[in-house]
Amino acid sequence: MNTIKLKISQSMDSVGRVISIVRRAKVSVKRLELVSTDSLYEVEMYVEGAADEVQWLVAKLDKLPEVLEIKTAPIITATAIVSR
Amino acid sequence: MGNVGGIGARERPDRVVDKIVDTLRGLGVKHVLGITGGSIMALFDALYFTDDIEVVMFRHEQGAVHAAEGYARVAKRPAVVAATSGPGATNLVTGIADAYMDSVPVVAITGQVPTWVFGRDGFQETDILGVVTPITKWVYQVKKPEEATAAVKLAYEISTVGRPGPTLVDIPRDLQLAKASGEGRILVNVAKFKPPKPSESEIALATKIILEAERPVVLVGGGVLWSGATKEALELAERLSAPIVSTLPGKAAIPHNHPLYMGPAGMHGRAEADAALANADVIIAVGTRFSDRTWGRFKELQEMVKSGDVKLIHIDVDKSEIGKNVKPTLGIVADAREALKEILRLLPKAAMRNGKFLEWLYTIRRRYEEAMEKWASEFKFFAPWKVLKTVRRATPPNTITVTGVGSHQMWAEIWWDVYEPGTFITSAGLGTMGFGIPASLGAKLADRTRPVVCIDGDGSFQMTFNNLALVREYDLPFVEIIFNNASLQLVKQWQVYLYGNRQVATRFARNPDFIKIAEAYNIEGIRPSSYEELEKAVSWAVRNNEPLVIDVTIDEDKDIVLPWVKPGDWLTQAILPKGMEDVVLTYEHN
Repeated sequence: MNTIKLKISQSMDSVGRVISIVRRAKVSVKRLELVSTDSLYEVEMYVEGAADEVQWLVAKLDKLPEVLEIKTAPIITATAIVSR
Repeated sequence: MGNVGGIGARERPDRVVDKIVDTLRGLGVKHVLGITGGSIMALFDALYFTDDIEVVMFRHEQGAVHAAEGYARVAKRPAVVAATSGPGATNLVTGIADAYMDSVPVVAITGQVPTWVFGRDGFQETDILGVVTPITKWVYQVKKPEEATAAVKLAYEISTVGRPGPTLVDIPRDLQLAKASGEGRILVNVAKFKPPKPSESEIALATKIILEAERPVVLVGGGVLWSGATKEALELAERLSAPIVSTLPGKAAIPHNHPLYMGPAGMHGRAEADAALANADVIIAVGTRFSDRTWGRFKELQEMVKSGDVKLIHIDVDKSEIGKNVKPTLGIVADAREALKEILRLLPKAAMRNGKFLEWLYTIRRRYEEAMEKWASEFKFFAPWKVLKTVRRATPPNTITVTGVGSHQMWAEIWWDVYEPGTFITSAGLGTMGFGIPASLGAKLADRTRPVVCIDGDGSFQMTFNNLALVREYDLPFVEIIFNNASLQLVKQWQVYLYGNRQVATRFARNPDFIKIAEAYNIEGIRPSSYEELEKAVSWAVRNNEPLVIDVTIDEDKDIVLPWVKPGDWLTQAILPKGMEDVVLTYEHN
């Protein structure tokens, strides 16, 4: 599981552009949150999928001019901790 | 509609559209291509007040946007296309997708219904932003009058910064007509498109890999052309005595009379180019997105890279391309020219030479050309590749060549010789039939001093020939050569070999008379009966800067484009023409 955090311009058009990429990614979206701040939308999504596919998604999202900032990090799940 | 003056008013109003025109002038825009209509006529009205920008009226918006693609590729700067809402905007979609696939800077400005009608299914209302969202580098709908000029400036800048691509600005009619009032700010991140300086450690590693190579190959993509890196790519190949192979868009970046150029590789590439790529031990891939049309399939390459048998250096300005289809040994995100310059700085002047590998590739080339020469004698009518050779002889090196899409395009990929970078324009990624005629018009508009030749098919011709009306209207002469096989020949080739020869909807039982169509547009047309007649006709048209339509009868039963790497096959499995049965594309270097 990975988390992808985006800061995008505050417009549903920008959200639509983000979604248009996410829907083509070969990942499973487990959670998607959107919070409005003063001038931005902050999007946080939890996705499950092969590392390459998550990387594809992040790289494609980062190509959007509307995406002002992008951060990604693997989520360490309880199972993963146990297995270590 | 706003009160902007009655009949005959000549005073320039102060509307948002007038500010947009000022912005376009400021950006150096000389032409706006398109078709007017209810929701964009305010912008066209504003263009009435300037002599600096010429409006070029097409007969279909698809023609305008393909012309914009041709224009941008020749002018090497963004081209502007404008259309009304609804059908005007949706008619642009194919061209926008085409520009997206081939990384062409096109700025589309579409009119939209007034804001008070939004979402009410107003007349000619279409959510064009929603439609083009996945096929644009950036798209923006103006919501406030003060955003309009900022949006146009950004659309222009974004279309060309880093990897080029199409952008679209959608402007509701009421906002176009609103009084101009300052310039708002639109929040985007453009800085990220500016290519980073190549890192020293990556350049050093790339150089080390290259110096250890026995059979290095330079793979040139369209990015080399946009970056202006032809000289550096040639220099790299020369220092290594390495064969240069290109993608279809990359074909335009390399002069074909260079002895190290093997041609384009892939589905309909040159046999020697397929062989070079498939047998390299180091591939320096520059400005390419690793299309399946270039590689057939990725499995072999990926396995060879993974095992270390092949070392792949991938240089691209777009970081999302690195590892998208094939994980390289080393990925370098940088401008092609900058990265190559840095590699050349570290590379010895005469680094290596593997004459044996090159000789093997030249042998394949010779065998292919001999086989094709023999095959040509079996053609009852014209052989497509001989037509291309003939036309090439009749045209100067700086001729801009545009193609349609189909078998003629694939023959041109294999056989048309490019002598000057940037003079070969084709719809590579999307493969849009009908691209040829409008893109030729756009190319001629961008540079009237050079001859333009369109290598077209009868199928492609029939999709957009209505735009021939512009040839006389705007004095945009070009030579239109129709490879007439009375078929959608390339699809037919697939039907014959991949679908048990079940030919469905690929033959034109009754084609119109193309010469009469030419005459209807006041363009001379001929149907040559020999290569000599063809050469004479092309020479005449080029010499006199006259338009000409040439209907060349191709033997449809024999028009099978070879070599052919069938979809999903590996490069060494290319089907070669008769007479090459003993030629294998695997190098025996041990």
